[in-house]
Amino acid sequence: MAEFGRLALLFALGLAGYNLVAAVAGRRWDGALTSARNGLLGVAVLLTGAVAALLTALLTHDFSIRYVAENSSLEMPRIFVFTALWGGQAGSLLFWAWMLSVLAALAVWLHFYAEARLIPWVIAVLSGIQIFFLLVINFLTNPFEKLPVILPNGRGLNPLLQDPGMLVHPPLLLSGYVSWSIPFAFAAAALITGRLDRDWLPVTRAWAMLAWLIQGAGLVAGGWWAYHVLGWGGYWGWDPVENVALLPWLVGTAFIHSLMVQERRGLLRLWNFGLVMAAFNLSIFGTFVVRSGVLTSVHSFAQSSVGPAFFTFLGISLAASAALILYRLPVLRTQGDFESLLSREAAFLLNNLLLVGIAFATLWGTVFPLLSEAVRGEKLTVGPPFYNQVNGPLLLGLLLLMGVGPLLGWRRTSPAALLRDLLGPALAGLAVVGLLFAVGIRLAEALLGFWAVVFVAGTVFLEFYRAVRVRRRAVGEGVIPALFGVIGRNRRRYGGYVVHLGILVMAVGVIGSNFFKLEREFTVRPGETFSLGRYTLRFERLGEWTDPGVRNVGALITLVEPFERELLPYRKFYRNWEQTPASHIEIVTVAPWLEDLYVFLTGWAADGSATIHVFVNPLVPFVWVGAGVALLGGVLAAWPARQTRAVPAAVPARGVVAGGG
Amino acid sequence: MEAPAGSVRGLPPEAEQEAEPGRFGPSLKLLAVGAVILLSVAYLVYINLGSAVAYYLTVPELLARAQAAGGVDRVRVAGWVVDGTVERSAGGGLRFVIEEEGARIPVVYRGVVPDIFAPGIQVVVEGDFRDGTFQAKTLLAKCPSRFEGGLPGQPQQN
Repeated sequence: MAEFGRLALLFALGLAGYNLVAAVAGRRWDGALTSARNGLLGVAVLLTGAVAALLTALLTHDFSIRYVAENSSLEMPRIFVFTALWGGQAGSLLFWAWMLSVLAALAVWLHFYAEARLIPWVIAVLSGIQIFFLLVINFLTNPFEKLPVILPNGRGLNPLLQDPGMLVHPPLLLSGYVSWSIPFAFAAAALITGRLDRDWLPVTRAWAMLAWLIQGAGLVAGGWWAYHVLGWGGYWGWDPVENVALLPWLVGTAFIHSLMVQERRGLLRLWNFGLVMAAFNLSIFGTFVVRSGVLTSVHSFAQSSVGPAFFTFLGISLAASAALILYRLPVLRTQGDFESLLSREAAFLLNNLLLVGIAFATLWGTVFPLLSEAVRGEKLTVGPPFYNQVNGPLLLGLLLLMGVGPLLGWRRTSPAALLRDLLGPALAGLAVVGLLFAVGIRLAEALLGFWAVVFVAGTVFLEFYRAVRVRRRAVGEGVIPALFGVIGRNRRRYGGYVVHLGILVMAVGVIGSNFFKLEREFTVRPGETFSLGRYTLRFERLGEWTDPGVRNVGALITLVEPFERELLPYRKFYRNWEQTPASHIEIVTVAPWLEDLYVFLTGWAADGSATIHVFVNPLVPFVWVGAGVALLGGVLAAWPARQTRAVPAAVPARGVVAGGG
Repeated sequence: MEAPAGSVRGLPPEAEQEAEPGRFGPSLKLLAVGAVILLSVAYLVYINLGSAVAYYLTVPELLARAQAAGGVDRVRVAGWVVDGTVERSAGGGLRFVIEEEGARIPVVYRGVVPDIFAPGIQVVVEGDFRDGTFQAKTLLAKCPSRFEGGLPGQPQQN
């Protein structure tokens, strides 16, 4: 197996090199271009073979391979042996390269004829990225490296990674990083060929939406996983590795908004290219940070063997991106102009500035230890308060724009009409704030946040309400069919609003859990009761039991008030990983108050006492529900249109009023 | 905005002009709003960097600096938890000693103890160093996102 995988990786590298050359030659010679396309497919097949080989080695416990011995063991459940594929460095990079090869082959196959002018350079750019990853995998961190001796058993996967979240989060996040390569390749091809008008936009938008969705899902899965296994009671900690995964997503979010300005008004062309380039480079940067340990390690710059290679590649890629944009700068200058501040394109521009501002602040905070060391010779770091205080106001601004933007027309809007539209939602927000104030919520930040959420929800409702009303008059449907009709006819626009609604639901959860969280640590003896907020718990006793390869220690706890429930938070000590136990956290979602009771076993002592950390996390379920709604809306907006064939027949001309987003 | 803006004022009002009140063109206004946003970002970053920063020192560096200045506030230090020094008090407090490059300091901490905290692991503590004791406000175990480590049979760090 190892030999097969090793050979497949080498052949894939050779083939990627060939594809690059053939694609460039293919600009004039169709035969070479077809051959490069087929070669891209060949790389995908070879890397699929390599992944299959590594999976086989893992599942058959071939401990002659270093990667298998380091990341799996005989007693690990089969499902986690499977996930060990992306559990270690070499495997995760192989997964990266494999996803890239599959997406690249798919993209080129789909757009081979429609985008014939761009395709040679798309293949060349994608092959260039593949060559880099295959060089790293072949020569720096080969997953098929042999051990000098065959071990009887492997070390096993880090216990924190032996969790169902491991099935979802890493592959999604890695695929998200990878997917930004496709928009990048099309943007680069457009810049190289000088076909800068709208040709590159539809394709790039489709793939950017895909990348946005996958990476968004990966981020949410990561938050969910952290919340359920790490035991610090939160879902987002502004850790460097989280931050770098957020960056391409933020910039990508900016892009999928601002590209509409280019489609409709021909503006922001330079900006759009910049965003796509930035999203890709931030993806490479993210992979570099995760893999090099540059930001988590305290003193050394790059302990891992792949750090310098990634840094070099990042440098090349940044330089190439900048050079391409500079090369076309004279042609990229804007052809039109903004006509009014009260226009949708202006709102999109401000939304972009805020998103890029958030990305910039987050990047700045993340790399601040490196910057300050370079400039002042000592490492300074920033913690979560920095990110919350900087990004909080910016996110609020973004939320407000989310409310105002959709009400603005392209080119210009009359201030009077806008004010009339805004009045209702603004008053609805005030009413809700009054209600919250009446029940005792006094925190200004939270009240402001809730006001903004209701205000934006009101404007989104207004948009749906008007479209449904127009359609009901035109087609004579009921409310629900008209609603589905409205969404179906302009999925891009109304799918976008569904995303906005999801974000609003998430915002409710974030505001609630950020401002109203309770937490306390208790050290208790058996039989003692302790309480936090409206909850009273009784610690019964410690218990110990074993599963294959795991020793568990748990604390039996009874929730006494406000209702009875047995809780058993426990810790899992895996063989070879006794220093790093995993946790089972008891999370009870209490429906009437929309909050989570979160009980974590911190430690225990020989006298039978236990240290228990209890959190009350208000509104956290909203985060997950909102994320689900947002992703659903994203799928609605991203799903490729059926080439508008059926639409004109189904809807009479008057229905067109509802369209046009 | 090709038309010179100065010539508009003396002319009789036209229907289109009501959408563009004021002397400044929309691009200029947009530029101003954009500049406000960018300046806000820069301002927020700037003031919060001042308040949230912690020095990242090694244990010997911290000791040297504390000797010169008496104490060091808002500082972040990494070190290995020394075996046999971890004490938990009944109230949930935690005392231990960290070591780096042969220098040691005692640490006192109350709060969330990370999962993987144990003697022998590397931790990062943040807080104030006064009177020879480190009062930690946060305690982080070194991030386990680098999953690689030694193989079974190879000696671990403790």
